[in-house]
Amino acid sequence: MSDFSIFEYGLGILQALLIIVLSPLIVGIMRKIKAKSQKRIGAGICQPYYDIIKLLRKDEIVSDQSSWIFRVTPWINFVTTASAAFFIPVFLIYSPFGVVGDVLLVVGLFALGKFFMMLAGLDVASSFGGLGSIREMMMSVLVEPALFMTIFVIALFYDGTNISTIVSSANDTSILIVPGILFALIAFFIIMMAETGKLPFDNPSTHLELTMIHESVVLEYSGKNLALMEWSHAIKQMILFALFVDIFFPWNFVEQISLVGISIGILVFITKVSVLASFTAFIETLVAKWRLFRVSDLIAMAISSSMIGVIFFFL
Amino acid sequence: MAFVGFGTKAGMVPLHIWKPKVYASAPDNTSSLMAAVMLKIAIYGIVRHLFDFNAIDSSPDYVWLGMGIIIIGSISALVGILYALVENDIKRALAFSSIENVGIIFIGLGLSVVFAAFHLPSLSVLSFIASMFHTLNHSIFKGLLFMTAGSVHYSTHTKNIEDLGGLIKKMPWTAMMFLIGSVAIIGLPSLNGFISEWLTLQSLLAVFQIPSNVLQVSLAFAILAFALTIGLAGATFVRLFGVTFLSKSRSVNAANAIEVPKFMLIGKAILASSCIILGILPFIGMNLIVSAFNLPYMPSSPFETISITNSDDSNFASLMMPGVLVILTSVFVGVFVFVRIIGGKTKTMKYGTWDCGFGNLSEKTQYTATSLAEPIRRIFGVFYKPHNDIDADFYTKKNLYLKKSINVISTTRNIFDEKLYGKTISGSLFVLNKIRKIQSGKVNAYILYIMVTLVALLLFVGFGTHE
Amino acid sequence: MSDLILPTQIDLLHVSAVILLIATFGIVVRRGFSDWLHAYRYQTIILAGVVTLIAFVTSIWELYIVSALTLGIKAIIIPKVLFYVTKKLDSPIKLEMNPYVSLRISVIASALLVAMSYFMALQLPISSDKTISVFLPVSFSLFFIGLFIIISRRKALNQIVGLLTIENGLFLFAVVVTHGFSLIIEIGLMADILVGVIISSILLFRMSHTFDSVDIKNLESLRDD
Repeated sequence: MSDFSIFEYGLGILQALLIIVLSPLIVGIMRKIKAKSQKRIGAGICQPYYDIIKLLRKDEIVSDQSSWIFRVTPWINFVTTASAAFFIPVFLIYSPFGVVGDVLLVVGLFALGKFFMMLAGLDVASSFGGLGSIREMMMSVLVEPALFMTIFVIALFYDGTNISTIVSSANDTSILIVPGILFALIAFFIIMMAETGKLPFDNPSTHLELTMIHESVVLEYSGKNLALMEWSHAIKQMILFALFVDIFFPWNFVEQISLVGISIGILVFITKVSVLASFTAFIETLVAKWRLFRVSDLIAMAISSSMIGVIFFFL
Repeated sequence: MAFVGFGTKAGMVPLHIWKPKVYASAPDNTSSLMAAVMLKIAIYGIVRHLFDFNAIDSSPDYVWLGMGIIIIGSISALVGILYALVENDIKRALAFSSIENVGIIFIGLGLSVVFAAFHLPSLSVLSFIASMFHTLNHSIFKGLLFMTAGSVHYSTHTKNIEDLGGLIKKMPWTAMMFLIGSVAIIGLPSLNGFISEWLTLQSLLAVFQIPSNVLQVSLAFAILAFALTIGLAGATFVRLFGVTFLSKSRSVNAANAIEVPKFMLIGKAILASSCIILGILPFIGMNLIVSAFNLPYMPSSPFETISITNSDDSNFASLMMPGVLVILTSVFVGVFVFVRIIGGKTKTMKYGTWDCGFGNLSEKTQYTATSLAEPIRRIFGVFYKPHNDIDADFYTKKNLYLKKSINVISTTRNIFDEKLYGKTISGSLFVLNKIRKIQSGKVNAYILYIMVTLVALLLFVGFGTHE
Repeated sequence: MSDLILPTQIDLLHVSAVILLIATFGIVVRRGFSDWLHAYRYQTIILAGVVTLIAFVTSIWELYIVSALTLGIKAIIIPKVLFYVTKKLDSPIKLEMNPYVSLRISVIASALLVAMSYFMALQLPISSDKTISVFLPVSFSLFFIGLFIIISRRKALNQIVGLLTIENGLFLFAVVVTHGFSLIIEIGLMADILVGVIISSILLFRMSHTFDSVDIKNLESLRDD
């Protein structure tokens, strides 16, 4: 393995910070596009930033039934999600921290955050929290096989689970030459919608017992803790988007490191992610929330799609 | 034959039914010892049998033996965890989860045999280490979990998690230990379970090096069972921990529980800290395994990176847990400082949980253990045959919406107890009945027969011409 | 900045095979009557595209005509007829309510069928053009998924769609293995399907009149007990 200089590690940290800092912006863009496509005006795209700053300054109320699990969860959630951002290439073709962990570690970090989130939902002794927790539990159980199968397909086609290796071999080929990866794309897209709580799975904009999943888990949070929860959700979404564009649309990475090159790289990255975000926002406008027990049909589709991907690789 | 004998001892499906019963009725300290040691003897027996008594060569027999072990392992893992998920007795649930872990160990072992039969020694060693490391880890965290479950039993006198709850405030240290054990057993990063499951997954990913298409595809599908197992394990331990330790107490016993004496905590603390140490520095455990089994593999320093490379020397996958720890801590410090600077100092108030304005949230309004398992019980209904007896008592017969009381008895059945062992005698009759049903008159059914025959014939022709 | 590598002919064939498979899955995952017909139409349009591609690769001019015929009859006329039938049906619920095999299991079963088709295509001693043998397993998959649709669903309309999928698979198989029958036979086949669809639509009407539903379970009463 080649060793990286301090400068390159600095660039790696810059990449992670970009993901962390830009994530609320993507949320804002998606909300704006959703509002526009539903003929509403909608808040400005910087609104999530104002929300987070406002929440960070507020006093908080904690349920008297809760234990330290409840108070620790937002921190664990944020730290695991933000750490996962260190492994994602943004404008470079690699991440200097790629040696430390691979895509399975990223999945594991997400799962750790989710585990504590489900516990926090149970901790407050209200039925809302429990309701959110079991739904979240069911979804994550079902998504898991699809996720690992998709990782398997990607690892087969692009030799490795190391994200830097995946992205660089993806950069050498194109989607038209490796058609099996198309199946992985479909599966990954469905998983992405499920993991970030998008519309056929979960309606993030309502507080209605029938529909909410993620919202009911964070229902009891306020102040700083709520800000951290919301922000880590945004970061998770950003990481999944970034992985999606890195794996399936790996064009325009910076090769010579210069100030101009890097700023162009960042701009290209933001454009790619915003296009993807707008696309998902449109899909969200088009579909309705599915009944909870029908969601498994959609995930079954992701599973079978990645299964065919495997077949395409081998036969 | 040896495999069946040791397999029964290790508790593989379908020879597993003795295990939950024995574990649940054994004394608390014995069951943790049983999980930690006795199980491993069985696995040790299988390992010795496989690798010592008969040297593995590349005959197809060994390929099929390995495949058989993998299939049994996957089924054990899946079935074990599915029953653990709906179990209300905490020790029985842990015993079912042992069956799951034995399944994961078997997957690694079977892969090792398959790789060895195809002359892929490095991969064989990789999956062997994965499986043995999981064995080591399992004895640590399962011992820890059984000990904490024993402590809960000791201070509340009940093993039924429906009667527990809120113990985290009464027994904070025990809760902490149980949490560490759960995080380790479901394979979340920074504890030891993650490493062994990561290694098993990597050896599953390496199946593309096997020179046989059929095996490649079928092993690739084994990853589905493995992933589903991991997901279900997560759900199981969220449920066990959440219902036992969090929210409000559901009975008087649980409300009056006190923390166990210190000397009971010390043993658990040792196991918990070894979970953490093996999670951060996995090479300590791996070096032990390498030296114990005399593997052709160089022991390395504890701080090294686990790394798998492609043939062209690019990085297939690598994992460096100390590095992960460094990133986690630095992110935590960074966020803490950031929040402090932006947010300043804020107050925290304690207040009741939001009750929708109705008031009086009691322990009866929170989710119970059974209701937590409901969605999964429904989706995997094949395994449980869930059955609800609803007995409602009405104020008046006219309005069925005003109920005085409602009593729901919801049961799940263990299909292996009933179907496999109870029905072997009546099985033949059943089969005869099925044969009679062939002439059903359904158009679909007739076409199904045609399709099955066609597929069978085509496969027959395919194999026939191939050989 | 790396150049975009241009795909070759064989890559194009692979990609089109993938898209055809995805379109076939569109039929399996849908529930509504008109959704199936839409999905069937997309699938047939893609099939016509595939045939055009094969014609381009092998440069057999008859295949262009066959592709145009497919587009005309199977993608436009047959869905039109069936849409008309759906509209005229009495039953108010135009959804597959509870199929014999639940949707999620049938999706995964179809994936397994695709796996099996690929496996069988490797085994069967049908020698064919290298570029076109890409589609042999795809045609098998279409055939088996069509059969599976017929088996697993209750509503008669879906049985017709399943039958048409099987037909698409056979058609693709014929094109792949023999590079198309002679034009006359092809036209005859198309006419045959058209007549078949019309007859089955009439049957559908009769069924919904007699039984007040299009559930094929009712046909069980025709058994001679």
